[in-house]
Amino acid sequence: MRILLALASVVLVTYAAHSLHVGEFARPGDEGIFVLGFVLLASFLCGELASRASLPLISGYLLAGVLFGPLSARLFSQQFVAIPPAAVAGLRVIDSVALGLIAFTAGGEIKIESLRKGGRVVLAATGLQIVAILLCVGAVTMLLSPLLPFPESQPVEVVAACALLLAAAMVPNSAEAVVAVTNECRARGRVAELSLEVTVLKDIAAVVVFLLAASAAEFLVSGRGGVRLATVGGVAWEIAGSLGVGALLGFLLGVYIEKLGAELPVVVVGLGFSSMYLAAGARLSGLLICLVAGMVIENFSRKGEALVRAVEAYSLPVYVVFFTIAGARVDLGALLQVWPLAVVVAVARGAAIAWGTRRACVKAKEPAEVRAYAWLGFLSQAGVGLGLATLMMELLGDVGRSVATVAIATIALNLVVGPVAFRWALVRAGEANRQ
Amino acid sequence: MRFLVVVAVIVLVALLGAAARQTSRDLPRGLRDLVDSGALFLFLGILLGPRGLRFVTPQYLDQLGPVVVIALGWIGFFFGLNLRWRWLSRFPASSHFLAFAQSCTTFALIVAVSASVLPYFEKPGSAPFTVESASVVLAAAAAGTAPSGLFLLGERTSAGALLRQIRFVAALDDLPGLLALGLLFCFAHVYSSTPGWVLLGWHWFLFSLLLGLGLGLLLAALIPAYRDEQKGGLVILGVIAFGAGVCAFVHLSPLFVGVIAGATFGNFSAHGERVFAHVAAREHAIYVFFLLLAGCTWRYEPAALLLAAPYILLRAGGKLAGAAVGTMGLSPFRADPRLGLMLLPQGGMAIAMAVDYHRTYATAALPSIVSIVMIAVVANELLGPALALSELRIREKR
Repeated sequence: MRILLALASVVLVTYAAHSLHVGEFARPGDEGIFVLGFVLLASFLCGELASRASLPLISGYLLAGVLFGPLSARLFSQQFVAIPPAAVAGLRVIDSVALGLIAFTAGGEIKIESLRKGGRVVLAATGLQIVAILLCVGAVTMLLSPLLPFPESQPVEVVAACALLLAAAMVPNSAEAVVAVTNECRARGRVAELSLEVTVLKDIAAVVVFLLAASAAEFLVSGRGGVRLATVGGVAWEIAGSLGVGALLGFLLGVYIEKLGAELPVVVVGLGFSSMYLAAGARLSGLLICLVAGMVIENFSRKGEALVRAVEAYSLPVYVVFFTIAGARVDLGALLQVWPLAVVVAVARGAAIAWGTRRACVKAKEPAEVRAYAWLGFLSQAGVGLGLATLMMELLGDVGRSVATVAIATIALNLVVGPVAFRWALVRAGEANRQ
Repeated sequence: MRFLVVVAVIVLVALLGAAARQTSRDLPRGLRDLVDSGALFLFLGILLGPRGLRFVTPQYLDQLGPVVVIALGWIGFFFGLNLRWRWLSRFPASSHFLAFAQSCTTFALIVAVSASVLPYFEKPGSAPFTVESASVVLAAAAAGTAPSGLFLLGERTSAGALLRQIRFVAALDDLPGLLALGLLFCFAHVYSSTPGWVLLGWHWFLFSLLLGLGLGLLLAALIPAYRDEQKGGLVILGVIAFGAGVCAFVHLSPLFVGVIAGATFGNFSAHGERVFAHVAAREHAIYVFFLLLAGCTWRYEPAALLLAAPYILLRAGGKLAGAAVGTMGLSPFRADPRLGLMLLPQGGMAIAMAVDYHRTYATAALPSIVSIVMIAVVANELLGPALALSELRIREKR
């Protein structure tokens, strides 16, 4: 009740401020600080409400983003949007910080010893999931093609190209959500481990899969194509270069922690942000760099625990802002336009993931609870999937835009449903609160 | 990329500066005075800023603006947390009277003189209310005393009881200036020649008070549920940032609203000590960061230099006269203008007031108020503690 009242007062004050606004901002960026303050407080409270309803905190943050972002424009007026798109763009810097921290955490959770023992199941689950998603989502898309919002009737080759790209965009899942829910539940166990390891591997594989799918789609649409050497070189550089830079960063950070260790949270935040920022310019993956750095420190330094504590120090406000912005970016228009299709695609993807994971777990003789619940860790989707959906538009123009709308709507659904399912799985598997 | 480097350097200097302030006892005397007074960070800011090496450009300063707003809210909240009745009531009424009397006297003297002198420096065609508002800011910044310089005197003198009272006065006497600043923001943005603007200004003042009160109560309601450092810290940061953001949105003073929120929380919550410790732990870094950015806004103007000298002298006169009024026949004091010599240190709060005003109502029509206040702060922080120490020693000998 107290939290509801607090949330109501924050919204009321925001509404009052919007009504009383007396003209231009004193300085550019002042709106950003207003939105940041609102997000920190209102989303945090929404997360607490979600937690009391046995939902993950991040579901609350995401819903806050949806509710006070695009939905408030539809429900109230354009003037009263607590999280307007312009301010969301201004807060994108938080994305880099958050992704850096998430990757450090994810890397810090991956233990080489565990990979040595269970590496085969990780590989099998990743491979089977990818194949199953491509087949299942691709087939469903082909079957439902008459319902796709194409500008005009399309030949079967174009529809097949669209189905292939849509299926490829459904491959990755959200490392951000997996890390955030695992941390929130203080989970430890095989489901949590497997979810993180497969997610990381799938994120890397997704880029390669999409590259191959894009080449095949180009061939289907224009009769030309094939994988270009330059593109392959680019992907190879992105992966190999990121692994190398990440290992170096991990080594240097490990030395810093051992020799100095001062102001570690600030140093980690700074390094995470710089890596994400600089990697984009060098065509490397900032996510992979930080992930490998975290992995190196966890596995080759005695100070892995210090890194985890440093990341935890600033992770909460960063997660609140990051997931709220993700919610505010949910394209409600797209979701409302194609939600029946999105639901079908999401169900097909879920079924493919469940089949792939269960097969891998059964073969590796994983315990019953892992076989039953591990697949729920792979439902959530976010950044990488959205990036691939955007690429789809670039590759196929107007036709691609229609399918991308379905992809974005499906990702929005998975973004909301995934964390809830994963939290439930961790609780059911008895892994919550074991750290 | 360059902005990234700028932010990294400023954060690094802020962290090193905060560490230096916390361990300043180990530093050589001269450097220690510069660090404790904050003058070193102002100089560094000037050096890095657009008038120095141009490492921090005006464009970057604008981009860092939101951080300044949060810092202002944080500083205000921290000041407000001190205003807990349980602590205030430990001191006799005479100390309260001295705090307010000398502060109000200094304020009145400077506002009167500035309002008469500044029109000679005003460029033609400037907006209405420019001189009046600048005069209020100069007076508000002059009215307070910086407690930081006085806190270090304890180890150099044995005048315990008097020093305790002077420190109390220094911790409290920014309040009249902050109130004036809060009022100024409320009236400045509705000022017009149409009748009724005064009433509108009072409405805004009421909104400021309610906003601060509401934020303080909100924090008091939420904080008991969040005892861990992460969630508790987020709630504190959220309330301060939200309050500062609302103020930036509707052109109110984040500093003033922060004070009201802090005072409300401090008096209505049983968790005041915990929150105070959390806010105080980060205060050093925020303060140094703030001084660096304030230094970057420095504008070299002969007129500002010209005005700074009489401003410093006038403030000293105000403090002496105010001390005479404030000690008039009140036990344990006797009419004692020399007590004003111990109230000369002027610190970060004065700069915060000037920057707060400058952010929202910057004008090129007058010499830079921030520059005048900055010069005065450096002079008063370097001379003030020394004068206070010599006065304390004279009293010890008696």
